[in-house]
Amino acid sequence: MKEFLFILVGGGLGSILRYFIGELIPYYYKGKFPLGTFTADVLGCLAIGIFSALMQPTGLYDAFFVTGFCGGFTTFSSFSKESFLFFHTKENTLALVYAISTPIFGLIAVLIGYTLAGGNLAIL
Amino acid sequence: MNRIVFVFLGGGIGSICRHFISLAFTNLSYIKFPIATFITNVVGCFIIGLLVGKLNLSNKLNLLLVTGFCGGFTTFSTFSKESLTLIVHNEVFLALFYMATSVAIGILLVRAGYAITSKKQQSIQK
Repeated sequence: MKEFLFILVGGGLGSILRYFIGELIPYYYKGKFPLGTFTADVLGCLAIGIFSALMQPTGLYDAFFVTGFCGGFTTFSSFSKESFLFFHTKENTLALVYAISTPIFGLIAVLIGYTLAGGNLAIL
Repeated sequence: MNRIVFVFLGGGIGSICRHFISLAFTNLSYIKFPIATFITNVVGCFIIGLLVGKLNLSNKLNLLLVTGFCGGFTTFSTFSKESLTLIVHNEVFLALFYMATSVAIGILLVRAGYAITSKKQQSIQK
């Protein structure tokens, strides 16, 4: 039961942080690239790498930080929605650049976070 | 202030739903393909498509359901971590298959959801 509360609060706080980034970035960046979602997703991948190296894959810390916070902070649905909308408005190049670069940067970010935090890749 | 409450509640409840799906698939954990995250992400994409196609969503409902629920329900961090895990365990092909199918089916399901509600919306406006 406690686990659910930790996931609820972690996921809620992660979502709020993602919302703030999404509100803040348009003040500094006026381009079409969905930089808000991209930033949240890549930073969240860096964070899950760090947390995975520092804590056991079960228990309340994992529920709060990994399942909750990282899960709520990052989003696959907005990423797919934004990719779809680019295709929908015939901006195919932008759609492909976005849909391909985010998973690649995400993968690299997990690797960097996990390695920097001293994680052993053999037990990832 | 209450905008944040909508995002918090939607994101928190979405995260718990994602956790329930992962619990439901624990007895299938011998399968190397990360099926629970895959299903969560593509279902979340279908839901966000339905919501985006419905043009008259209020700002608060948008924060609760799109930014909050869909955002908290789906996850990019676990998706990337699972892909990296497959790669470091020499399952490069499976990792690429997982990434490609998640992205492609995710986009197609946004499109399917969007098509359903935007068509309904047009027929209402007529």
